[in-house]
Amino acid sequence: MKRLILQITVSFLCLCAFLMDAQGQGPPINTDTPIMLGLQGRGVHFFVKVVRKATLLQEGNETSDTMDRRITARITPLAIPYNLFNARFQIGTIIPFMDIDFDSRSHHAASAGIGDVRFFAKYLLYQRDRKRETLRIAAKTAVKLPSGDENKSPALGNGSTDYAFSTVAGWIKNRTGLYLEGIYNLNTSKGPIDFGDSFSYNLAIGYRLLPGVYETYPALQLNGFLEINGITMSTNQSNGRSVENSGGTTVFFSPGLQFVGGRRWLLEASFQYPIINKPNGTQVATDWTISLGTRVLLF
Amino acid sequence: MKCNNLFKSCLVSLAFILFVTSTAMSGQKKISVRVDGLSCPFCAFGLEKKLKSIEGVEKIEIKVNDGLAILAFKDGANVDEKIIKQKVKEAGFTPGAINPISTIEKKVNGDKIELSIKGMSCESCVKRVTDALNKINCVNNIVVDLQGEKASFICTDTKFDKTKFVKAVDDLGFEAALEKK
Repeated sequence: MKRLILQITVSFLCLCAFLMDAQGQGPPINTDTPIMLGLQGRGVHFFVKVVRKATLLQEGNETSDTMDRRITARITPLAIPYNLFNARFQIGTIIPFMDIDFDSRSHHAASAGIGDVRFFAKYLLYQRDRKRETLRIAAKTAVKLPSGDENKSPALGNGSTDYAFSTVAGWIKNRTGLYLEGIYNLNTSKGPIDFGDSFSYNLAIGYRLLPGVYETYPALQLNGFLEINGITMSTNQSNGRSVENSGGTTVFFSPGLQFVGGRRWLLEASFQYPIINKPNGTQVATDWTISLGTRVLLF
Repeated sequence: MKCNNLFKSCLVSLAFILFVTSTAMSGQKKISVRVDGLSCPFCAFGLEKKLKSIEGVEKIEIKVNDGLAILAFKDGANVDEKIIKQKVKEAGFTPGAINPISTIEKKVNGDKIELSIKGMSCESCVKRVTDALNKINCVNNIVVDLQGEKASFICTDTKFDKTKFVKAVDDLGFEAALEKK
């Protein structure tokens, strides 16, 4: 599987390098963008993300789970960004609707409802435009409120107000785009379990597959994406002691497709497969995720 | 009686003058605005919206591959370059040169001429070709298409030697040829 992924990535990069003579594609699916225009500026983003966890890993190696634990989470976030004053400053909210199933040999539990709501602000720090080319860097900060019920089983939130600080850079030239993002999540939870901080890192390469030459706006557009989405979490604390079976690193390889159907909407789909899955201690790890989404320009 | 005839003649002449003037002045003023950073086509929504809000703008075309916005203004509309550049900035892009695509298009009779032109690579080539053809007396309503590598215009003098159009463009260093109809 890893060999196949490597082959796909190399082929895609070669294609991008070979065909860099027309222009433009869209926002990446799992990585943020500093370009706050059009559908990325005032477009409502709604998607369904299915996360499947069913593999027990011990120090990164698969091990048999006598309890046969399986978790399926269906998360449907609604993201509403809004450009305030101009195209350099954006505020927004992300409201996730959660539906989580937990199964094991002896136990079944399910919960559904609103998860932790997030508010964010993004500011464009740097912009360099050329003909059919743009380079932009933005800083973003977010606050996550404990709106998800932490007492439900499985919990819909972690019960604390947390903060995130990130920087995202995007460069688009001709048909190809490159995006980089780093996010530090500061967890403030205090209680029986203090969740650890985490650092997320995303890299996305986008390529406009169709049309070959984009003459006049608007035109139907098909974009392909290859993303690397990683997260490293520090261990949780319980009564001042580190919880052994918590935290770790997961890095996903995420190919995706995006169809821009007109001035005001697009559809996108992405599949995420972990290429590095190293949770600390023994934990049920993520096997895959699937995202199906749409962005609609309302304002 | 004579006075009555004179009055009628004056009225007819005035109507004729008004007709000729209005015919000559009708048509659109078109300009192209270079828009840098126009690399994600669906970002163009905001640009289109901002440019549409300019008073007098009748039609907008966004040429993504050329990095240009083409604006057609209503008759008599004032073209304010500062406002256009401001709107491009507000849309989140960087404005560049603003060039007229054609002057007031007059409704003129004559031969429609098309030239294929090889060697044009940028907007300044388009301007040079437009200027060179404009210097020829019979030429009206020039449209030079960079992508299509051609120029089209109307020559009011049907007996004019058409090879002179080719020469005028060739003298600029391009390779022109008359298109066969």
